[in-house]
Amino acid sequence: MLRVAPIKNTLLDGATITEQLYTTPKDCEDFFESLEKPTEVKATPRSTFIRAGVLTTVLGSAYMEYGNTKVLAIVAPPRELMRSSARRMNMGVLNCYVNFAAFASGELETVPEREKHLGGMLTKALEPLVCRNEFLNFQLDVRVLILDDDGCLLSTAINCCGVALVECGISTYDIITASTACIYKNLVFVNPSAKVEELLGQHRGADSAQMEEHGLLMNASMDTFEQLAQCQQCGYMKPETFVKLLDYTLEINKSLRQLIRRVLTDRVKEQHVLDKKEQEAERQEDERLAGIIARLKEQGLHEFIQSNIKEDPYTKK
Amino acid sequence: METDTTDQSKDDILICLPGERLCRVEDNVVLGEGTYEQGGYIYASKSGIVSIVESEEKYQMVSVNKPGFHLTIPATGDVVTARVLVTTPKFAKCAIFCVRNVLLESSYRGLLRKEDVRETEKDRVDIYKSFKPGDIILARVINQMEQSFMLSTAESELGVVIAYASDARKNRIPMVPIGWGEMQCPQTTIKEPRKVAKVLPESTIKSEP
Repeated sequence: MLRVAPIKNTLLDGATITEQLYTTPKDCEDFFESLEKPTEVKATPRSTFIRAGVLTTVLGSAYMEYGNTKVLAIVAPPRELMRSSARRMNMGVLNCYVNFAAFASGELETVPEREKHLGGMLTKALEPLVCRNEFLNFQLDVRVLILDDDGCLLSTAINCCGVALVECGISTYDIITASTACIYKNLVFVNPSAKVEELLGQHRGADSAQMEEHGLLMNASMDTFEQLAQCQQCGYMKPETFVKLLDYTLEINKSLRQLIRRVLTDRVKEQHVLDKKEQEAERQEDERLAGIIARLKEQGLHEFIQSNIKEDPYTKK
Repeated sequence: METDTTDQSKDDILICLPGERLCRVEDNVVLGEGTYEQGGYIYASKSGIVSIVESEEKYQMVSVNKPGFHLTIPATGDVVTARVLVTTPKFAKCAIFCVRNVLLESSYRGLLRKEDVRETEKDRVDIYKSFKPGDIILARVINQMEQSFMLSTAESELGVVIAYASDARKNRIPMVPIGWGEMQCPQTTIKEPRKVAKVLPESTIKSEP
């Protein structure tokens, strides 16, 4: 079943173009000059840190640092659909909620809209990933908290949610990885920082007749079946440029995938060891109880109770 | 596309991640938990340890066991423990709080229809003579409807396990079964009709044919 959700023509993270009416092409030029420009295009991810199971109070959680972007994702176990929200669906329902920490973003006015927009995009990206046929009449809530914003928000959130879902034990068809690339004034920015994304949002065409390429591409891929879970583009790009950026993002996705695989494998090993310890403890407890029962049989009930009472420190007083 | 790499650690365990190809679909291979089939191959859908169980009937069950927490949702054929919430002449509403031997985090809705209370004399069943709100019952999941799980107690091992007499709620002494259709309060000696379960260890309950 194909559902088409209306998506406003906004930039990827919801910053609308109409907000700053008085920006001129000159301002853009100045802003662009102040930026650090890449000398060559390196299709590698930023320095990344991922950890699964950071919170002990929820079942599936993951924390990810992608450069300076810091994101925390939480997956709660499936809940039953309430009657009021029951849609006649033959699939489970996925809900994603994104929240900015109060200190994450300087502009507070646009935050609610960005949160809503990111949530919608995240839902779309994760829907092909989760085996939704296993959660008929259930809804799965994924919550994302953005602690620090330095660009690539959506792709980082997707990566983080992917890890959290696996950590929670939700069936997924594959591991999802996502990355962002953008082009501005013929310069390709891989993993654009918040500054670059802001610049793209403020872009005003110069008065020259020839239109310059400017745009952002976010791509989430699942490599086992070579599928794209979500591919989002905004701005103006020629098809050749689009393909070029797509290749860059796929390249980054591949290396991120290696990293995520390693993190998850380590996590499984870690939990396996914990499980073994727990089993060992359980076995010892069983042995202890068996010993008590054996003693009970030997001593007889009355004597046994007497002997136990003497050991109790509270009854001594 | 990368090959189906599987880490072989010292303990001789096979770790897999979602989307990893496990083996080809064959006649004697059965898909277990945490796997799915796609294009003639079996893939993992969870991270965990691969286990291949050989059954005596010459088929192999491939499944992925996730260490640590794993998610439980009542499936068709599972024996569940539920609390009766509301009874009406046609059905009883229950809250499922335990599946097999796993305690659930949150309870799920269950529905027990009049026709599924017992195997014989289905037309002479009265819900109010079988269950009372507050009873703890053992039941088998037979179906998943739009809003809730359909339950059935049409087996002698299924039915009321713990019940309290209607008038002696305060001292909370569970009634003692005195037959397949009656329970008695040991304090007040009041007898009340119930669909009593013959409680056995779960392993001895025969699985659904």
